[in-house]
Amino acid sequence: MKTYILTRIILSIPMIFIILTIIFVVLRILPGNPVTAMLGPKAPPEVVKSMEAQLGLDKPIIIQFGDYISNILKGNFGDSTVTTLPVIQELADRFPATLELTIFAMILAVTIGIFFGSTAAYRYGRQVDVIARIYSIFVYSMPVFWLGIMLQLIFGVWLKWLPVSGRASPFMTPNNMYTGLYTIDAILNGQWNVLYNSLLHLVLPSVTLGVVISSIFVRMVRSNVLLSLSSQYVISARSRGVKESKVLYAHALKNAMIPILTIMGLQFALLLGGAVLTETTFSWPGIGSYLVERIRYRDFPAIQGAVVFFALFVVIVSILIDIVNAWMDPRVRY
Amino acid sequence: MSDILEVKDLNVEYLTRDGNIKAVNGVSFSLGLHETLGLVGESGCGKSTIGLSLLKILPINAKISGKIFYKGKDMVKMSDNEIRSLRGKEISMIFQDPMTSLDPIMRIKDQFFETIRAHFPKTEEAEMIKTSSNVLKSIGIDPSRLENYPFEFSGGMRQRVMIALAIILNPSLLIADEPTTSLDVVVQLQIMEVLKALKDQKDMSMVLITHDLGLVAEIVDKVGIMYAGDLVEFGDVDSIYEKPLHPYTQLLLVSIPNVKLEDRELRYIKGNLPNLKSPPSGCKFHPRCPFATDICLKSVPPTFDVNGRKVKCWLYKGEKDDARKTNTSVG
Amino acid sequence: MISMEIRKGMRGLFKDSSGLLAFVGFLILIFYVIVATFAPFISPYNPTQPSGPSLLPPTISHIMGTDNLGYDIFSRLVWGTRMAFAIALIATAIAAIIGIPVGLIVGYIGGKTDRIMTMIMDSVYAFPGLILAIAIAAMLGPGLLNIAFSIAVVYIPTYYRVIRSQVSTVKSELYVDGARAIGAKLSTIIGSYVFPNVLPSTIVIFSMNLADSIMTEAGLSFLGLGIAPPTPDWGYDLAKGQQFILNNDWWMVVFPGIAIITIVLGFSMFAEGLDEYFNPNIGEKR
Repeated sequence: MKTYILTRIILSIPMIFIILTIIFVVLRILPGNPVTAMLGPKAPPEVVKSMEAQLGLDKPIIIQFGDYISNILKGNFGDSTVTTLPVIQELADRFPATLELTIFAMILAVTIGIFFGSTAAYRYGRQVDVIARIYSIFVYSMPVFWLGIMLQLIFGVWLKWLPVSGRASPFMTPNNMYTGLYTIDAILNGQWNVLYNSLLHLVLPSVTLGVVISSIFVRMVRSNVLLSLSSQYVISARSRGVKESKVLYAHALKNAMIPILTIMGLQFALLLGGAVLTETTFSWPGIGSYLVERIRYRDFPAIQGAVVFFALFVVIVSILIDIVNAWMDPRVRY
Repeated sequence: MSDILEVKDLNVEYLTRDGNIKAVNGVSFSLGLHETLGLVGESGCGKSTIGLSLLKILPINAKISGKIFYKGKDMVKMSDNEIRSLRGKEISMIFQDPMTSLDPIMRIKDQFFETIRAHFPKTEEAEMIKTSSNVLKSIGIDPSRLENYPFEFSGGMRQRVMIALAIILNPSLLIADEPTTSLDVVVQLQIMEVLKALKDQKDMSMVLITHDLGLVAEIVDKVGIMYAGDLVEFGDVDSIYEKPLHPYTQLLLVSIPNVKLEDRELRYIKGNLPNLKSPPSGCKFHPRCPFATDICLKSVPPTFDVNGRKVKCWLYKGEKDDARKTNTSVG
Repeated sequence: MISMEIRKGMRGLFKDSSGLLAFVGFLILIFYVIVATFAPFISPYNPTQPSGPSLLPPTISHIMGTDNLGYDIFSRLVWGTRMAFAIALIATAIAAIIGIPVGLIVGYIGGKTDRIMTMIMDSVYAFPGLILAIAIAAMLGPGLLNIAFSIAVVYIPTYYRVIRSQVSTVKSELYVDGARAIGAKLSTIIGSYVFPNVLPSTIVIFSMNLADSIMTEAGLSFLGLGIAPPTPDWGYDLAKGQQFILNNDWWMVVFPGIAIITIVLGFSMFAEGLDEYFNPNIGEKR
């Protein structure tokens, strides 16, 4: 298992390198110089020059690339041109919000996906199955921000049950921060009203993101369980009198989880894309809204930092998922 | 009632997107206690479907009708729960492909435990380990391998594990669907030995489904020959071997390769199995039959009783004595 | 003869839900194509000029109400259809024009080129698509072609992956070997043997990608990275509408959303139906 984890990490190094290169190409080589993007086309040439020097853009492209890679390896993402704070610090401040949102959304999406998807597969062609298929097509066609706005309208404006934006009400943040996740920190501090408040704020954003992602999960759980239900080991388990609930969950679903987990890993990228939109919709102070906000201010180091951050986040999650996969599948583990 | 199993007019149809497939067509036979039946036919003739019907584990697009009496009770009418309590405990099945029949991500141990607990939910773990170890030992596998995963076994070993799983609760009836087909020859013989020992020592009734008449001849008491969903001939193994009545049975016997014969040319039956979505008119075998006459094209032959044997062929219409046509050479 | 063939085809189409799905999707798409084509005749007002009081709820003269500047929302939706189609089609076309040939050639050549290219494509594929598009759009700035290009980059790998994997399967088939043996040129082999085999999946992906592109475009313009206002654009209108939901001005968000959903539904139903039609293998099993 240890060697497996190690190989998996080593194997992802070329991928990380390629991704970083792509980001470099997009941000530095594509038409649209970061400096003109920041200062606008009418900026005086000497201002442009000094800005270029400040960002190291006057050097040859190869040197720039080397600096870029070595800075990222050192964890140096440069300073924000808006706040002058180190970008890495701003990212670290914002990350817990994104993490909290994605965790809750993921839990919801996985739960809906597994229960709805496997029930649909088990009752192939019946009513539940038809509903599941309609659900996944329909929800998949819904823009995540539109769903968010509609939920804001219904539960925030009309029913007034839930807050429409933000992460917590004023003075409702945990006293001591340990993890940066408000829910966890509130529990650790024993501040139950803070916990309640942060959960209230979490409901709409995480339901929005979770429901949209669940459409894909329902679909792929359904098709993979369908496949494993028709496999020989399921027939053979049935032939030994194993209960149907066990056939479905212990055999069919458990085997289907291996490909499902792999696909879920790929969908994590989609989840992050959705997170950017969801954070913007709900003014959720995570890295997604940070990226969008800094694009408006043309804060180039911040943009680059956020994009690199998202890319690394995806790679790390995919490594984690492969490790869980290996843990589940004895054929990989040994 | 001495018969453990009696199948009466069994029909199974698969509903598919482009037409229905009649896989089993009015099949009737019976099996006495401690008897072994060989169901023989080419692949796709419906013999495996009969096997699955005996446990009612057909795919959901299958429609079943007729009667299957197990120890006098009709299984077709039983509730899902009643059927489930029979599976594995009264009637067990082993399948063709041992490589895929075991759950690949579950330890062998847990697949044994799961089977025991499905019928005796409150069994202690220690007792389950004891029972499983004994069964594995009896079948020639070291009990320490209970901890292993299926991928750590060879094909023949997996088939032994499958057999052990099937007999762990001492069922009265064992259905073996091509248990040796996917194994190599030496292992095939070993598995057949295991099955034979089971029959002799445990007094189990068996249904052996196979395309290889020669392989089962030694261990079966009765033989049923299947062709395109029909049971074309049914009777004692000895009499069928001596005097095959149905032309198809005759051809099947000739096509068994025999290394002792001078003539080493591989014989086979000309033509293919008919398309079951639109089977030929009359007797389904007529396009390949060397004796086909007009009546065979026009109407479906009923099952005739010839000296206690059953045969579905127009050649035996109104015949009571020994069939004349059996000695006609075929080839 | 021909009419019989059509009848047979139609019967096959409606035998199960997949045919119906494709058909309904197709009807929705036809509807939007008509709306886009005849936008000037359908829309009652100029979409980029005030046509009444601002923030007017739906009435007879403004069936979907007006926005904060007094623009008629219905007219903006009708004209926005053009923008949605234009960007989605251009983006998907760019992605296909790059992804398909690269997939065909690399898949056919195989070896080292294949491994490197696949690694690059997999990396792009693993990258959060919307974020990549956001980054490119932020650098390129607004404009129809810029937006289309940012979206296209995201979808190149989807073509590449499917085409490449199918090509590497097809190329080991006997008839391709045969063609190579009699000295057919690479372009001939790819064009007349390999491509026809991968065409069905290409059509399915094309249709799916159109759905995704519309969604991505809406996302980009929701974030303010789309076409420069006041050009009618559904995502931009939604973003603007969100600013007024606390006033309960629901019509500014409900209608553009429904437009996006239905057109995306149209494309994805069409794609899903086609997919099941071309690969009907799973349905017969349990």
